[in-house]
Amino acid sequence: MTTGIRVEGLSASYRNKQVLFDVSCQAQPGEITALLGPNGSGKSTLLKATLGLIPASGEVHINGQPLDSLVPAQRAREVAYVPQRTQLMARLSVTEVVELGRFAHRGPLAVRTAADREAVELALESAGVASLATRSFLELSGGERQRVLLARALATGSKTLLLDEPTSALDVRQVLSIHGVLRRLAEEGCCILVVLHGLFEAYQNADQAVLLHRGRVQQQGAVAEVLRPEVVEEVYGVRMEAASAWKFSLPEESQ
Amino acid sequence: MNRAVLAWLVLLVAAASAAWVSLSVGEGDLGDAALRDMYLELRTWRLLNSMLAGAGLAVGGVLVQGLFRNPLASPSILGTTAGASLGGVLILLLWNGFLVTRMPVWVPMELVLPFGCLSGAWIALMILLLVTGKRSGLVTVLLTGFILSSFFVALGGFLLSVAQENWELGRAVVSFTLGGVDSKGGAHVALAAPLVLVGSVVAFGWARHLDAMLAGEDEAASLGVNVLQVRRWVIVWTAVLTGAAVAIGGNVSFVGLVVPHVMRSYVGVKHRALVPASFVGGAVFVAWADILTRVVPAQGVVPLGVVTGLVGAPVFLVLLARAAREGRIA
Repeated sequence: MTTGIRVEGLSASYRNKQVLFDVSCQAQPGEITALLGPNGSGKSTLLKATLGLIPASGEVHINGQPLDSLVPAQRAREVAYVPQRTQLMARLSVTEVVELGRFAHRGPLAVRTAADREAVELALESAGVASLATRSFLELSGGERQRVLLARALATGSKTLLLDEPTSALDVRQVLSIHGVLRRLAEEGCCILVVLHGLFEAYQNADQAVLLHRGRVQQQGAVAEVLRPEVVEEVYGVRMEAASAWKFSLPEESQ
Repeated sequence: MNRAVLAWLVLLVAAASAAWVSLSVGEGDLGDAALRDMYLELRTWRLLNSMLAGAGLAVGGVLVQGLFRNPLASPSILGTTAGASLGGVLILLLWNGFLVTRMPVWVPMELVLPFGCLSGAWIALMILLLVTGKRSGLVTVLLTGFILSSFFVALGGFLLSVAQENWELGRAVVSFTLGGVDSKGGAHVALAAPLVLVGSVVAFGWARHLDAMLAGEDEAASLGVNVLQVRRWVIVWTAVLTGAAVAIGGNVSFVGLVVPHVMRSYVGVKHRALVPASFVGGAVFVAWADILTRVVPAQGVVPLGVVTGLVGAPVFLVLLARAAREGRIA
């Protein structure tokens, strides 16, 4: 069985304007695949079409199954989503937010089972937010919220994660902490497709990259192969030079 | 003590005291042994009707607030109550041989009124959704509701002036439009109770879906919610609940706004707690409002909708001001 995400010949429109043109790409388990491209190149649209949130033509396979063959609950158990910024503005505790991830595992009137509790605890632990469990979601910092949303995605039990610019509003420490979690998940066999804005961030943290330009795939492959000076210049219109750069990492005890 | 437990204790005490006061206050002397039973029976039906109307509107409020992800939405603010009221007036006129003469008028009025109200509520919600679309901001939704409400009220006024030709009918239309549970009896309870109870149980059953919808439609869909299905059913059941409530209580405003809002701050935002608390809270609120209509010194009867409006409108303004201050209005 093929696993991970496979997109073939995907075209999609947003607000009556075609945004994606015949896009084909894939993401494998055990790897972090960065989805890159300038603003308006179609990254978020590709992510939403892959999740089946917007109508699109073409084929999407999640873990070998065609996306259209899955009902919403099945789909939610196969692939989980972390939005760029959540719309959640209700007074829920962190645990209650993560419990929303269990939606697809329960019947209409079913109560919380031991399996639900265990999955929620594990997800809180994995995303490094177990210590925040009883806090109100609205009181958290941007970085903490993002990790709670990651925990909610993990609670769905799916091994395929789609993240839309999860680090865009975060400071350097929070960014490192998110990438630390993503790397560990990839090592545990998860398939991770993440939209990233920063090329340097992608270079440092991803294994593979898919570079979109005006709704088409410009390049895909190992991240170092994709981010070559001539490609970057063509897509972003900037010059890229190798240089010694700062390197940031979390101190041992907080990893 | 836990805030939710406290809220339930207050609700139960308020419900019990409303029942007791409602049975002991009003026109007629309970000391008159010959009439005592009749007075008590009339007041019991009146109490049950007020409670059903309140429960239906409050749970309807929870549903639309979940659908629009907006604590400022409610059946009266979105024009749903006015739509239900207009539907009621229309069916009242039709059934009395007005406009069309070949109606099966042997069917009692109490039986068809809820369906007129229900259709009116449903059409009002559909127009609102058609005009505002899927991703309208708070202001668009509230303004559209306001305009729809004004339009339905104007249409109702027009129908009333047409109906004035027949004095009896004109009186019936006025009395229905103003709202109130006086002179409502067992037939009203028998018709509205199943609609309100089933609607509330369904709302309770959708609790987890509505919880997930708190995160917005995209996130809810990604969690496995069939968003289209939820939207469709929420609209149908909001129409049922509002229609049933308006059929027995008339145009009682602001219940669906005030009650869920107050309950949320005590039992939390999760719908499994919010739906039952709003059900009881709505029943208690309108039962007490109806008691007030009886004890406020006034020439004639103070309509029920006037009492709930006097409480509800200021609460709405406070909420609106708070939303504006917190930058939630865009």
